[in-house]
Amino acid sequence: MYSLGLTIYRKRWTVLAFWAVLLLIALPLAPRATNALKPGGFSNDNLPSAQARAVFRDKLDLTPMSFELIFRSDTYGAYENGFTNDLQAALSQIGTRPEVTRVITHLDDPARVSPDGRSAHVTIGLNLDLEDAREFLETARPLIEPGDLGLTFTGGPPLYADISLSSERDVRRAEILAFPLSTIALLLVFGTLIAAFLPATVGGVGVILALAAVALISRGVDMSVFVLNIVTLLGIGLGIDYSLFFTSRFREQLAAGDSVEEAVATAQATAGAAILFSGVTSLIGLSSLTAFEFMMLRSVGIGAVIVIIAAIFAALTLMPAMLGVLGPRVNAFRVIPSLLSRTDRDMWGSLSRWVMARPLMVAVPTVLFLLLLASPVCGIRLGTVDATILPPELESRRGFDILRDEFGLLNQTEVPVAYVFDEAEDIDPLSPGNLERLYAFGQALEGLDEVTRVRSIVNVSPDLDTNTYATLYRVPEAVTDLTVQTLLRDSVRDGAVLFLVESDVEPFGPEASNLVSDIRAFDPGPDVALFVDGGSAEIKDVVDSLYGRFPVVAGIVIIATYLSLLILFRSVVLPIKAILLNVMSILASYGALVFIFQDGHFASLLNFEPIGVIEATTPILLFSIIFGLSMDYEIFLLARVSEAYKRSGDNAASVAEGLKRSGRIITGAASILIVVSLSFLVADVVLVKAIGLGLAIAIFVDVTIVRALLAPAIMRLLGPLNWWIPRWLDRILPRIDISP
Amino acid sequence: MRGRFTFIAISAVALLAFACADADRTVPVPTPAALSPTPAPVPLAFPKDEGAHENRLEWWYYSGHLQNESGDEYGFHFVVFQSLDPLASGDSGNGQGPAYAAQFGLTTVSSGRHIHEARFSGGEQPQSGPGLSGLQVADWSLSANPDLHTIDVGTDDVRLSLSMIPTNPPALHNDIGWLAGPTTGWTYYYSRPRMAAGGMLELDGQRFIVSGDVWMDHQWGEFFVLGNPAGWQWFGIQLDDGTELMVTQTRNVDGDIDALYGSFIEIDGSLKSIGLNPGELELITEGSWTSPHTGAEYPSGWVIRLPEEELHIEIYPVVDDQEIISTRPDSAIYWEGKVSINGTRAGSPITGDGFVELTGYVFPEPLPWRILSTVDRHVEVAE
Repeated sequence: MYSLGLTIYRKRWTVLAFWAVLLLIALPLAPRATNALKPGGFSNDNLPSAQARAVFRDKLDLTPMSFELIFRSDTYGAYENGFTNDLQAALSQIGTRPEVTRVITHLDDPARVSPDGRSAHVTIGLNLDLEDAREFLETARPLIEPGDLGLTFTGGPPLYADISLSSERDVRRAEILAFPLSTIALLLVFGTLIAAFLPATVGGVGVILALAAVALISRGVDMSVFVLNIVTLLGIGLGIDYSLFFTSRFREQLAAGDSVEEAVATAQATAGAAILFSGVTSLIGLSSLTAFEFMMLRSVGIGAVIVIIAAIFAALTLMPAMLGVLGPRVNAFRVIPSLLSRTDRDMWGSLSRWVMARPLMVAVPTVLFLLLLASPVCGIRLGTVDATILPPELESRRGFDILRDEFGLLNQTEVPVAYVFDEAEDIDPLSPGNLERLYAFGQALEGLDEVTRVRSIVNVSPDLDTNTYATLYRVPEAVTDLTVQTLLRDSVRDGAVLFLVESDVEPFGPEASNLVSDIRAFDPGPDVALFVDGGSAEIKDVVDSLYGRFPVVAGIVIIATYLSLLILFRSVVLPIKAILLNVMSILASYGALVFIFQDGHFASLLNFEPIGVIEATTPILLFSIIFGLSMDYEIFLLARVSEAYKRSGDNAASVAEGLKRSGRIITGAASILIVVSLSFLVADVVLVKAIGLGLAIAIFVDVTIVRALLAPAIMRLLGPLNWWIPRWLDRILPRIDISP
Repeated sequence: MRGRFTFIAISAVALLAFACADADRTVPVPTPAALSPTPAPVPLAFPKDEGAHENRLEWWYYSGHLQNESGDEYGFHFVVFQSLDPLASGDSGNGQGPAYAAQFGLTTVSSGRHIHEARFSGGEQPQSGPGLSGLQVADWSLSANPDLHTIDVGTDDVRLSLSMIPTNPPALHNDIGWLAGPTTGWTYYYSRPRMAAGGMLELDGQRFIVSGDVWMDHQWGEFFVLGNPAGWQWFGIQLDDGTELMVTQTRNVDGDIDALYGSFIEIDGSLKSIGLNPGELELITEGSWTSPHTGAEYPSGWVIRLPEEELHIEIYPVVDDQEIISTRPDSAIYWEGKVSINGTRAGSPITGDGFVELTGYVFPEPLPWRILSTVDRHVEVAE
């Protein structure tokens, strides 16, 4: 690393020119990332509910893609000519488009009229996937001229369009906030404009480079819109962190009398190596996301890996080149006294000595306090995103609220079940024999706990039995009852019948999940298969799939991290301590998320509407990011402790020494990352807010409570065990020496 | 030990998911319990049964023959349907309660003009008394009590405010006012076959005082109405000798006649069920009329014979085109019109007025329904 530092210094102008060219290439590409990213990605085709969706499409002609139009008049009732004439005009063009499979208005289904009789919602069915449907909206909007009627677009494609738009806007807003705030934090750390400006530049360049790479990769691989947020957050945060460590070491070396060349090379050999190592640790954590089958997590993992590599690359090449050019001018333009130059270095040392004098008295209440912070996690309800993650003023969200509040839709659990006959059998579902089986299944569904109603051709009225249904359906075309006619039209095809199971339980709660399990548990007998879809089934499948794999992925991350730390610190116990403390920070952050975003505390302060659940991917995302990031600080801290221990052999003194020497750099770096994370609180999308706050809390807990109190207390309790390693293991492990 | 702690801690989140997970299990679909038998009919009681009931389908049907002071004749029909569909409303639905649809038609005999319009509304309408008091369907209203019925309906062209006083007791069809059908299920059914009516008719800006006789039908129950080729022909006839006759002929889903029955009501209000024995009642269709609006071919012109009563009557529409076309998919298209009666009873000439209802003659629109065609139809009707 030292010689790499020397080479970069000697060829600093070439390196800068290389980066200039790289930036010139990346700059026009980076903005394209926005257009190439996709919404959704919270599901995958292997889930039982996704397979069920294919059955619904193929067997029941139920294409899941549709959007809703809500028409309203303050003058006319929904059945008056003033309303219906405008409605006809509004739908005349869209109804003829080849992408449109069906248009259902209140004239087909009277339940589509609001109780005040002045609003009606219309479903426009599409034969498109989500992405194409989102694009089709641009075509559809000008075709729908509502005349004097008020019109609101909502449903899947408009909601996803707004999520993409908001996500993009959130990133811009967060960037606008994050860059100046982190620059201020850097100014506080370094005191000089140039030194503060450098890490911000390196961070920004890393983000641009990563976004350009994302734009290129997204041509071949589906990438989520949330990649933008993660790339920005990690890019700025890590880029600045790495540069901070590097610049700080460089200044130290200059202050110690090194030449610029020596200072660059030494900083590269020490801080550079630490950056490389901690970067790789972060990579291990975040690359774990790519192991998930969900596009959202996988692509965020890919985005994170890219941005970490970009940040490492920028910190290890661009940074030394810039420092080489600047030399002592790095300290130019002092605006405020530097935190680094203040003589409070021993605060951390004194604190750790105080802690180590009474380790149990500190450790026990601290652990209890962390457990208290984490305790809300016991009530965690994992859910999926719906429109409530959007701010209420957006059109699609307003429409969602109207459908929920005025039309009474979306409040209850609806579980669609496809009852599919084996094609080798009699496939007329309306034959008396099949009606008998269907009737039995319909009755069984009605008998389930929590089921309030079942909509199907054999659950029309409690007064009808199999024989009556057989009479009623002998000539289906003769049925005049609108409900029955609608059921026959929409829920019966050759060989398949749809049952819609309704319940008052919350769609994403455990009761809904149990209901899905109960339905799936039915064995309908030979030659019949059941397929269960719907939001509740999907979230159950997503959660089962995510958390079925999570322990394995988490295990691999932990083992990989353990091995890295084992090699680095030649200790069997210290990595376990590091991982354990890390997990405590993560659990505390989970607890805070549940307390705030699920239970709704501080909702008005943070300007969001509680969504009642924690989005299922959020804990996994946070685990990966926090595990990666916190380990950074752990490495910087333990590297100093280990260095002191090697020198003195005194456990307590080395812990104090390590804390003292790494204290302010870690505090500075962490505070910048906290600032960047907190800047995502201005996001409109609740999911982004939650990730930002979750990260900030976890880092805060990690660098304050855990680092200042718990880490020294535990290390004191462990004593020489901290540094225990079997001789044979020490012999076979590779040796890496770093000192930031 | 510490490694184990680590494992336990990191597994805490995963456990939350496992808590929801359950082992694979299957449960055979149980055999459904037998339905409780159709409830035995309870004797009708008034005024309670003049009001609304909590059944799937209910209607109050008024058809009348009015004259103004100049002797101009009008036929009107007004019906309110109440639907309590457990799959369309209720606690788990959109909370709109019962759905109401009302239809009004007016035929001017001299000009052959036929006007019809509809109203729709939904929601609970608590009643103050046992009967029906001021039931609103949009801007139309209906009250139904044993001593007085009132309607108030209006369109752009016509407004009718009518009070009707029953002149004889309710006629309980099938003797007890309950029968199976019309097609699937059971229904309570009684009529007030002759009510003395008086009120105000406003037509094209002109106001008339009108009076006449009105036939009222009230039906409720758990039943489904089947359409083409199933359906029925219904006749409500007021003869000039003070007797009344109700005749219904139903067709099954194969289009075959499966029932012909009726009631003959004497001047004193006593009712005799007819059609129970072969030869008691004969209905012959004489001709047909094809609707220019829907293309449906309706019977037009009939003969009814009641040998035991020595009654032979011929029935002709006063106007051919009295077809009611729904503006919504949840209302049927049917023919409902004023007819004139000529015939003999015990060898003596007899005349009368009547209303005929013909359902199930329009073939349902092909599935799936298309909204645009529905809107087109609505606009066409609105003209």
